[in-house]
Amino acid sequence: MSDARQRILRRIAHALERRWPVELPGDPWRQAEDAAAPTRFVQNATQNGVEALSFDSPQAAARWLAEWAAEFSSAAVSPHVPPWLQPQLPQRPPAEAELGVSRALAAVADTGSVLLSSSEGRRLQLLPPVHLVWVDEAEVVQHLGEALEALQENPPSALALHSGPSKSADIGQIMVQGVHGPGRLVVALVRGLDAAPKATRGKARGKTTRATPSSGLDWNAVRRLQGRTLATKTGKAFEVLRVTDNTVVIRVGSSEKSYTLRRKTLEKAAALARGGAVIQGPSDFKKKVADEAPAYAWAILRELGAI
Amino acid sequence: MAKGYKAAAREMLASQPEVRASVTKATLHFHANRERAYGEVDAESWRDWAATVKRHLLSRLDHYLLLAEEKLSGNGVEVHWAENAADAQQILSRLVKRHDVKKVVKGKSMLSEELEVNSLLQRLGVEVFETDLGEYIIQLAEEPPSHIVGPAIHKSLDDIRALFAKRLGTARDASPEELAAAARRVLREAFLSADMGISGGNFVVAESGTLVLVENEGNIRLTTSAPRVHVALVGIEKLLPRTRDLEVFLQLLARAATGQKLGIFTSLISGPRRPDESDGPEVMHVIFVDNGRSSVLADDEMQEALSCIRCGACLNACPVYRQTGGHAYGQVYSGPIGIVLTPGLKDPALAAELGYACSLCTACADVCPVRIPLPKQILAWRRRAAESGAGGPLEKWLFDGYANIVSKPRFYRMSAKMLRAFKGLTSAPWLPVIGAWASGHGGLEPSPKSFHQIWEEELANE
Amino acid sequence: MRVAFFVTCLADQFFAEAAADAVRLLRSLDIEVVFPRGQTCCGQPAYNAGHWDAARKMALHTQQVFEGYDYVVLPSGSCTTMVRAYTPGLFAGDKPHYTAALDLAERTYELSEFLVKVLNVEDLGDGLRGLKVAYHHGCHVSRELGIKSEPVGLLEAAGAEIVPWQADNECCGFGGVFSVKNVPVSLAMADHKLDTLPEVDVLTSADGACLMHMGGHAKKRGLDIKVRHLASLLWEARNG
Ligand code: SF4
Repeated sequence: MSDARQRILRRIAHALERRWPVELPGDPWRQAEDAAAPTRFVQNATQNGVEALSFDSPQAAARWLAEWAAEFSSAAVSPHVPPWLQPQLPQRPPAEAELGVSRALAAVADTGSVLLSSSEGRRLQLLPPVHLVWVDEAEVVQHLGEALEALQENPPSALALHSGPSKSADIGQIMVQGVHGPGRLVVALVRGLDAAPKATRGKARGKTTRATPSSGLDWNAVRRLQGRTLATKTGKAFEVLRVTDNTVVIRVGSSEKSYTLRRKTLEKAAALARGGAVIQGPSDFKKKVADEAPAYAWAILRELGAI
Repeated sequence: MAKGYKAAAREMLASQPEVRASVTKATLHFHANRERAYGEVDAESWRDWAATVKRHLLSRLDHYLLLAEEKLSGNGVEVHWAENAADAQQILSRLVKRHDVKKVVKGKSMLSEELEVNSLLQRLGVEVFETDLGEYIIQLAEEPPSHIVGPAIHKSLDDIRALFAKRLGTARDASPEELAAAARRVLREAFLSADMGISGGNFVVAESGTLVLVENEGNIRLTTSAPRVHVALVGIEKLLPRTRDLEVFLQLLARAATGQKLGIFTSLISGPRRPDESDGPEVMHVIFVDNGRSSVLADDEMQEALSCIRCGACLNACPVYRQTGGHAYGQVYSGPIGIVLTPGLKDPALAAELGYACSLCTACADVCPVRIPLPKQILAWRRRAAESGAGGPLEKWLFDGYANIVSKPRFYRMSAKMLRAFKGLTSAPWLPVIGAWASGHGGLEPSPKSFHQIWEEELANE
Repeated sequence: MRVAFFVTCLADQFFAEAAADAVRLLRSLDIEVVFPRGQTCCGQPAYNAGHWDAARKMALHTQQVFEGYDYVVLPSGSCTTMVRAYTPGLFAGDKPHYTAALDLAERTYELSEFLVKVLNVEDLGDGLRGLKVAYHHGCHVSRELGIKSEPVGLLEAAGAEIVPWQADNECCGFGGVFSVKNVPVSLAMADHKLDTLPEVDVLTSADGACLMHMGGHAKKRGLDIKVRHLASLLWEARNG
């Protein structure tokens, strides 16, 4: 086909021979920045049909999430979402999950869009009927060009702008939501998204969690629990659904209810035990370590012989 | 396709009056949304700017094509070139074989209509799913698209109910949501099992080798994400010089097409999936297609039409289009841009009829986001058609005769008198022009006295 | 101030009284109106049909007839547009004729535009008090020349109520040769205009051809719609 290529290029060159090149114009008009970028983003995104929210802190966001996520029974979560913003839900492949959770690279105020990278997985952005996208408030820019420029050096293989719920008016001009992509797009702006909530601050930031050697908790041993069914002290069965770098996700019985245990919490308990503390049971765990699904955390640590 | 516009339009208005109603409703809706959306920004300055960027691009098209090819290749995309539909079909056939493709999902692409991709794939024994809801509807109905943005706007809710009931077994009174859900079920399955996704391309950014696709449903994102092979069909004129150009083009396209701030989903694809990514196509191909575009580029009066970003605004603004929708034109592209592009891409002789599917109201020029001088170009096609004698000897004789009459005042006044002397003249159905006119108009009578006469008798002496 | 009146062929034959009203109106404003002999047609029918040789012939004739007048005023939006916006393009590459075409273009005005822009008349009188009017914006005059507020403003100032009409700036379907070549589509377009037309006393426009198309089709359909040329209404505003 290089013949075709040659012929096409030759014909174009021939057509252009007699013409003067037209100059590229200067910078185009831009919309007025009549409010801060996050404010304008929320306004415009809302107009697009996005459920847009803002949170002052990751704690506030996590609190909201715990409640909000309760209406779902499973999720596909991007590895770019920090542990404290992951819903405590059983993980499912995107095609089966009820909720997809993303971490945006940026958001654009002019258009009410979030920018998503293929590196977190394309399907989780598209297949679940509801899509929750976390954005750091500092990563909201006024104009699309600014966001694209920032990514120009090293763009992901597929960069996607999502500006609202999937929709179509192809059936008799009547708007239908959720045709192929998510029918609900929830975008949550979080101030200081990457800062771990206070309880564990300092121990970990974002994905760069360093193992804490002194804790004595072998995380690989924890990983091996994935898929196992364990029981609490009172005999309640639960399944270890997934172990990530920073979390353990469990599902309780057949109730579809799930919890995410944070690595930091488990490590804290292990470190205490190593230091000689005795953690007798869930209520003791709650008192000495943290009030985070103590029954299950205690059972896991017990299983590993870490307490 | 064989029937010309004139006959097809007449027949549609007579036998399918409901199409007129659906199309009018849909286009007026799009049109009003565009108007509001233009009003929210400095649309005039954006249109000037975008028009200039596209004119720049066209004036250096060879340079930008080579740049795009280099960058795409650098991104791991295989680039192909097709001179015409046969070329493109051959390339596609080879890719289907090479990648052992049994099932294809498609995102909306007018170019794929031009290239008749669906019938090719069927011949190759490949199962094809159009995944845009509108395209899926007309695929089920076995019809071509009627509008470049809303392919099924000629169909009413009831039409689609009946169609889906027959083909998908939905209830006869299913709600739009239920109908969409039925389509979604079929197509979701198709996405997850297809071997190849075929998309068009709204833009290709030359400096970065990025393919840009805009949509509202998410089907194009899935088409380009789920199957292991992605093939993009891209007209050679679809380039943009720079990434930064997208800021305006994406917004302008959305505002012109549907009045949105931005399409719901925009994909900026810079290559196949990377080793560290969990999903995405393993291979990606871009086919640059000429298919008549370089001839349009060589045509001084028509070349600006290659700036078109296929927003459909000119169709929505066109009162002629609104009466029939796209099918009457009998071509892939309809409405004002279809009239301008089709004779250039295919055959100038088509202008003889298409050129007159226009009342020259110039509403299209008012809305085109890249300021294509559509009415001027339509007139130029008419001029060429008239010069080539396409209107027939009678038409030429009439206009030449008329010119002779009106440039000789004496003749002019004489014929004016005749108009009154033979009273029946203006309703004489045996005169070709008068007959056609009288069929739809009543009581066409000249003023009792011409102005010339009134002047002489009354006004001249005041 | 001397104004040459260009009646245009269609108004000459079919809206002769309205054209006469235009002259009466101008004279009532103390304008000297002359009617250059030998004037015929601006050439638009041939131009729009693609027969540019014929169009050029007519345009040249018009140039000759109106040479030397300060102002040329037309009771027709579309013909004004032909002279102003289209004719010069017919003579691209033919410098002398192009210059002459531009010169004529600069002196040429549609009636209501002339009243407002040149004579600075905004209020003709209140002869249209209480009249409910639908105003059809002819395509060329409104889009190519941007003349919209002038006719509407004059009607309103005269006490007419301009009733909102969703399709007021949509093409009526006439389009010259179009209405002959594609009759059913042309009539369907007129139908859309008529079907959206609000309840009014009179439908008016600066373009006689559009009124003829809509009015004639309304008659065929048996609709009772009264059609009057803008020039007549403006004269009535002053005189009524
Ligand atoms: S010609 Fe202009 S208005 Fe028509 S589809 Fe192309 S870009 Fe849009």
